[in-house]
Amino acid sequence: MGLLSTLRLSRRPTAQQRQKEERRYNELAKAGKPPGTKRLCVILSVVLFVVMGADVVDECNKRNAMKEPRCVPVWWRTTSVFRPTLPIQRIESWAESIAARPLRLPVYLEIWIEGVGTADAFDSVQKCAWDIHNRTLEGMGYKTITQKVFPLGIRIVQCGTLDCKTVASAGDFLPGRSEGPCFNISQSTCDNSSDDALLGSIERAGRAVLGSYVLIVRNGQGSSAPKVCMGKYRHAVAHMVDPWSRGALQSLASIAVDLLVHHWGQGSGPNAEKQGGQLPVSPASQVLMSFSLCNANPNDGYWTWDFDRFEETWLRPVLVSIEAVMNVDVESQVLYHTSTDVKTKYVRVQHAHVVKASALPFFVSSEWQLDSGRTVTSRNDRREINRTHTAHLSSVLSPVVLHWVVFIPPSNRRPMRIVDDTTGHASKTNAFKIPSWGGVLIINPSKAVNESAADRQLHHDLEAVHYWEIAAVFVAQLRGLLGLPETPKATDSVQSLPSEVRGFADWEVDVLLRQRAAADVKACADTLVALARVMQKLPNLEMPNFIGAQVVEALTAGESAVKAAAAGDYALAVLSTRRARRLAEEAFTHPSILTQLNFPDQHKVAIYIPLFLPALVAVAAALTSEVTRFLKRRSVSAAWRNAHRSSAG
Amino acid sequence: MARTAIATAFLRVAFLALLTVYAALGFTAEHPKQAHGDRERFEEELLIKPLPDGHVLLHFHFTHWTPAKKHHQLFPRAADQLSQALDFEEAEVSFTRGRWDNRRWGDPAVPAKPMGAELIARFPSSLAAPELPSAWGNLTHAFSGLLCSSLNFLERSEMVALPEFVFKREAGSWVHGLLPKEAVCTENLTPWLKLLPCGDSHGLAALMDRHVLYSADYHSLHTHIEVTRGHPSNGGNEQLLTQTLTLVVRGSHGMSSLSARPSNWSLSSIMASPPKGACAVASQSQVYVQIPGQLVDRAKGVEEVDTVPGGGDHTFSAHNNALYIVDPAPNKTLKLTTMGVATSDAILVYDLEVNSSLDPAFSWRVAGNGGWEPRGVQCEVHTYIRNGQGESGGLVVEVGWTGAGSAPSRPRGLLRHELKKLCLLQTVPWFVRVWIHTMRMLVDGQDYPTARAVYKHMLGMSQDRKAPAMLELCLQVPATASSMAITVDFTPAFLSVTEHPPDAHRGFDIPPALVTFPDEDDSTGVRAEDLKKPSESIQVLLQLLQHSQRKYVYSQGTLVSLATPDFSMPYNVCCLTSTVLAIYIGAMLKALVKRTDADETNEGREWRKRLAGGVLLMILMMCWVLYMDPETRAQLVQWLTDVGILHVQTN
Amino acid sequence: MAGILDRRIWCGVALRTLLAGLGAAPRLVGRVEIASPLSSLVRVREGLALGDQGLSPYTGDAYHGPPLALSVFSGVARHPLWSLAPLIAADVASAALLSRLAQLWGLSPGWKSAGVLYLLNPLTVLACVGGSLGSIENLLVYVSIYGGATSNIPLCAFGLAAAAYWGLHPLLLMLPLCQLMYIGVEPATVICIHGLTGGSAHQPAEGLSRFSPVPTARGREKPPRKGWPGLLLFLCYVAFWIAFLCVLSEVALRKFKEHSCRSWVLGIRGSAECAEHADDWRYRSAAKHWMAETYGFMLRVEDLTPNIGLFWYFFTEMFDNFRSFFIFVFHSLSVLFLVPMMVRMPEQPLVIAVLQCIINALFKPYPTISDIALYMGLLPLFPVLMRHFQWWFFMCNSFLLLAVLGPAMWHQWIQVGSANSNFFYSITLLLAIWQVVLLVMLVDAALSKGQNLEKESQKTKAE
Repeated sequence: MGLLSTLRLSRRPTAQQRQKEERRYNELAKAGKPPGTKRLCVILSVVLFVVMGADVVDECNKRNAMKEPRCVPVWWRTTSVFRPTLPIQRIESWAESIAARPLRLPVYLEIWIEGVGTADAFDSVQKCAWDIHNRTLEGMGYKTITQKVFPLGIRIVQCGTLDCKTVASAGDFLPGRSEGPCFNISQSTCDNSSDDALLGSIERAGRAVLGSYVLIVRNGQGSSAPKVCMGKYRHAVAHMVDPWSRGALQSLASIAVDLLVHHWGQGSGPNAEKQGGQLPVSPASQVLMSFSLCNANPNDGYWTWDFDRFEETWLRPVLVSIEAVMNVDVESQVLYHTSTDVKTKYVRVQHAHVVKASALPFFVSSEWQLDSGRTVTSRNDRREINRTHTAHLSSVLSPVVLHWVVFIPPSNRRPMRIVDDTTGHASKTNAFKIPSWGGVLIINPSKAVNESAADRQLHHDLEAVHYWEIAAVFVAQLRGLLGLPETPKATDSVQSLPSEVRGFADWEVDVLLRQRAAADVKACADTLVALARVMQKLPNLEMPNFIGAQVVEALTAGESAVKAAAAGDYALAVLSTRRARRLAEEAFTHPSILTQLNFPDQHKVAIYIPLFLPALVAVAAALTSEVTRFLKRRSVSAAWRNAHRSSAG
Repeated sequence: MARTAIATAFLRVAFLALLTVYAALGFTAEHPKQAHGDRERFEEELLIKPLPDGHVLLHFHFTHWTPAKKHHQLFPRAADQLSQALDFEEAEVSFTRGRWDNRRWGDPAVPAKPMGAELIARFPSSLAAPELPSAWGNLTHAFSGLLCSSLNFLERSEMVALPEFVFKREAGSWVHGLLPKEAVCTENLTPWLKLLPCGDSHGLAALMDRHVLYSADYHSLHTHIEVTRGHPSNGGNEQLLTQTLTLVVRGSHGMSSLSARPSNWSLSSIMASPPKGACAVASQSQVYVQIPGQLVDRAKGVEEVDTVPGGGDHTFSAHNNALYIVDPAPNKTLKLTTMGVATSDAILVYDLEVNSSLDPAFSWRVAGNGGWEPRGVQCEVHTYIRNGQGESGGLVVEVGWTGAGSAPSRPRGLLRHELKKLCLLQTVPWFVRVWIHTMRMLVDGQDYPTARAVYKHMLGMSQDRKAPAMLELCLQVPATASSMAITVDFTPAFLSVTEHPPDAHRGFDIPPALVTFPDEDDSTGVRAEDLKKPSESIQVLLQLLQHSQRKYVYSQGTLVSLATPDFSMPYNVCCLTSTVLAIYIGAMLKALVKRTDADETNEGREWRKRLAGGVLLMILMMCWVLYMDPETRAQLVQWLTDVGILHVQTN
Repeated sequence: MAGILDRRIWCGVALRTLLAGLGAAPRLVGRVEIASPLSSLVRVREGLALGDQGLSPYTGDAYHGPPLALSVFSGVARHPLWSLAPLIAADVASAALLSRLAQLWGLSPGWKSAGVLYLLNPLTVLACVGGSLGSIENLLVYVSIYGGATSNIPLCAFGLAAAAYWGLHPLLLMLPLCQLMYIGVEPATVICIHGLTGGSAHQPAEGLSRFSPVPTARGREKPPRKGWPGLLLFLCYVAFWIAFLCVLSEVALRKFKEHSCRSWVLGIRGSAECAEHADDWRYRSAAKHWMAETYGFMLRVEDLTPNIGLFWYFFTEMFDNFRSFFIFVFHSLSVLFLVPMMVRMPEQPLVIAVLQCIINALFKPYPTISDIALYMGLLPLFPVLMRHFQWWFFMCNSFLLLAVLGPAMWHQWIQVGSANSNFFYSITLLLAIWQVVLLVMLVDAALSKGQNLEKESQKTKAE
């Protein structure tokens, strides 16, 4: 187009003029005068300008200015899509390694046997150790019995009257674990006090570490089927007659296997990831427990609670004991006019209004405002994030909410009881739990009823008995939601002491930790791989810089977690797994990636073509014609000069 | 919430048993009752006021107050978490539909709000200035989540004004945002009701029948949170949450509001149902019927005519007289005193707790309303555009005191000073460029030196796409003035295609002007410390009425129409302009390298060359297109196969 | 100077004052063709009003002109008539300069005297009455060209520096003027004088008088500097004047408190300092450094108010993420052909300056009619080009047509509302094409003329 227009504008030289010019130029060329480079320079300057856009307009493209190397022309800079380079290879390899050998925190069992064994006992002891090791792995459900699948260490220690020495060990044990000092074990009965007393000496022996457990075998008056007394810490005591005898060792082995498989060693099986994934905990391991006291009908009296004191007295110890697994937030409210749609009928036998267990799904009605307000206020602050990658509460990372509802029936339906349909028994606790949602407890407070309508003294406070009832049900249901038995269960060979105020035994916390760690690492790996895939799939998806940093950070955290697990450092391992997963989730669900508009290439072409195609065609045409002309002229004049020189010479 | 698999937990008695040990340890004795002072309070009140044209004003007023503590028993948890998560000291949201009609209804008993949604917030002065935007943004999002509204549009900085003097109740940085187009409906009301402890199942809120609410002529939903930050140690803040709903509804249904004759009404006839008793947890629930002063005076007059001069022991009763009767008789009758001045307004107080099936009814004794005319309003504000069409126009903010002298409710404010003061806030969006130097001021129609009138001012200049222009003027004008206007010229800006809203031709909203009265006591009526006094129950709403009735007056917003580009043209414009540029480049280049002598090539060959170049170009472009656009490629392949040149084996 | 010119000057002044007195100013002030965001009197008034409030004039988006413009108008801005006085003075001065140049180059005075053409040009009249600061920019450009033509280096440098300070785009004239300084005045003005001789073969005296050293105002006789020394001196002067103006404007802005946070020179430090206020609302409309508010505002095209240029509608419609790219492209187009022209006709810097003026008018983000008037005023100084020029009739008529249609379309779109934006856009497109045609034909003429000159000089050498 440009060309045509100039054709019409530019004055056509007349024919003879052109002849004249032609002749003159040929003469010039013949005269050996090198051709004029003026026009060539013109074109070249234009071309140069187009190719290397001058750096004038930096404030136009501050956005991209720092993201590209300086040498690139400005027009390129203004159009480039920026994204950090992800360590894709590293991510892939790490994910593969995780898939190949899932992360397992190690478990160590030490068996302290009292008394001195005979020499011939020792080889059988060694066998016994390996026996325990392999049978445990089997029990946990591993197909291939190798040390690789799961770091399990068994060690049998002989505690003589004078010294203590390791007589056998199986599996890989922690390096540098010194032999404990010798001490005499004086536990006779199986109760909490002696359990606590024992803890002291174990600590002195330096064995009270996460993931390492001690089974103490006492030589003494034991029954033929010895019962192990397992406390709320990481040790248990068994009484046996002549523990060094072969038979005793065999029963000891079975006891140890039972302990490991059903209690201490839980959460290390092949399906630990699944168990860990089912825990009601958010990726950032945040849990919000919202307690609601629901007065069905306040018009004839309503109850409120002093929740601060309840929290202090009852919740705090429980939550402290599991804070390694999850950070718990507590909030409470009192609701009024929360009527339930479930029908009750009065049963004279129980002197109560009865709710069938089958009706429970419809007990909590959606009118109750149980939903926490946190979700309203939690919002990611874009401006914050653009500066630094602070943790933002996107929908994924917002805490998991567990509801604990305490329901007070209206006075005309009190007392209200839950009854199992099949066995007509009333529930002892009058409570029920809803998996991954929470639990409901029905309490029937009694008040001094005075029917005078004028008396507006409707307000009552709950009594202590209600508080501990609530607490007990809370603990039991929380254990249930976490996949633990609601009370510490006992197998035929193991008698277990329930842990009182804390609600969770140390070894139970270990179990939860193991599950969490395994699940977190797996989730982290999956997320990172998914992110890498997305990045590869969508080439012009822009990505802010800090997300790349986040990904790298997550990756490093994951790797350090694996290292720590190998070293048996529970605390570090758990911390870094948690961190890795949080970062990965944040990076993946970051709004700046989720909301992206990118144009199809057709669109870009439609924008760019109209200007640049004609312009470039014009430039190119002029360039070619000039260059060819220049070369021709030069050759002619060069030829003439050579001829001249030869004739001269 | 997943209520799927349910496991009834039968706990072991043993477990309970061992917990019992700690029960003893936990709560040794029946813990002492808390001091009454730090009990939370919830109070519900309803003001009913007949209006001259037969409409009735209903003003629901709910007050929550909580001391600084972590866990609450009455205070709504959502509001508590809002104030815990966000660092604000006072926040006020109002959703309004319909406009308060001064001419028909006189002065609003409680300040009327502008149409749409409004969010006013006060942040602590300690808040670092750069944090303010994020704090405000979080607040808008929180409220739009809490009340199901689109307040989050106020997050953008070009929507908000930072006034200095207008809200001068407390120190702190005030932020003010308005959404004139916000549609108000029941999805705002439902979450609002959820904040009440009894919801709308009991108490006064049970009256709120959706049909009545949203067929009302004026409907204003208002939420106000005031937080006094406690010490972080005790984990809670002292908070005062006030929820009000103001309605103007027809006296009795089925009767057209056009007929001037006011009707007899009763609460049940207005709200389609009598109240279902008080809310059990409310520390008090009261219903007031306010009889306007004019009516009372008129009734007095009528009775004086009727009664014989010697007529013995007749005492005038504000609820049952020759003019009208309010049934049942109130528990007590008060005289309203506004700002310390006794007015003749009578307030009949009913206690809902005493008789739960209360249904106050108002009926006339005489035909007609006894010549009861709406009194002129004290002050009204208008914002309008002078010749908004074209490339320039004028913005006019006009304040009129129509019933200036004749307002007995606040005479002293005027008669004491011969100058009356008022502060005016007008926010103008950036795309309406106001020229400050053209600002003029008219008092009673003629020019008035701005320098003399303005004793305090704050001009926020507009920044394109960043900040609105904010005129905040504190003026003093002669008390005798009956009207005052401020005019500013403006030039509408031109927005890019992407900046236009979907309904660009509707015009762009200029938010209403806000006028406050600095020389009148404009305290919010009830403060938190009043509620701290536990002993007697104070009627919050009554106190409110006794303070200034007009803390602020809004004008109604206006529209300005901007010239719009053609929204359908981006690609055409791109092509056309680019063509011109291409002509420029090509022509210049050709002209610069043109040589007056001819090339060696003669015309014909040159012509052929050019043709060949053109063809080549065409082919190149086609290839390019085929490369870029899969659809075209598919079509081409299809076409070729149809023609038969190409054979695609489909298997 | 010829008295005859004076009378014409007076009638030009009278014309302007008359129009202003008749109250045309308020109608014209708002016109998009006359008042751009950079050069409208309304914004100057606003800036001054802000100054009275104690706010920096660059608070908000009110004012985008250079700071010294405010001090030019500070006294008179409020008054409807007196506010035009500086503009009228500027027009008169530039008319004088033009006629002086014409006289210098011995172009025959009379009705085609350049100065008078400029003064009575309706475009300048309208621009002046409409209070467009463009007329002052024009004056400064003329000053620089005059200085160059009379090889008065300080004057030329001052004109260039001031013009660049005022409107940034004249900075592009720097290259041709450097060229001028390098090769000296004589060859540069060959084309003009040749036009004279070519026009009529006699009166060589005047023709030769131009080759003799230029009699400056003080009448001192000294050979004009040329070559590297001249060039270097020129550059030094330009640098000096620019620095001087910057310092002056800093001083002028010193008294505003917003300004205190800004920097002392060039605002690098200042912008860094005020960066942390970026997301602080109290500073969201606070004044940035005046350079960011004037030149920065010009470079990143933010104000999409229609004008007679190419930018506004394109960037109104363009998608956001192509904006920065195309802004760069548009700006670069105004620089694109500067070097090529220098290469192609190194001996005609004055002609290149004129051509560059046309290109500026074409690629300014906010052009006004005074930009067109600028080169229209210069063209009569090059009768040779005029003589080579094609299609006078077509060009003049088409321009008249556009001059009528533009306002008509605007009226249809804005006042009446019966048309839409495309109508006005089409006119701006046509105007752009018109200017391109003009440009190309001038280049054509200049080139061919230049070659004739070469040949003749060769002939003269041969003889």
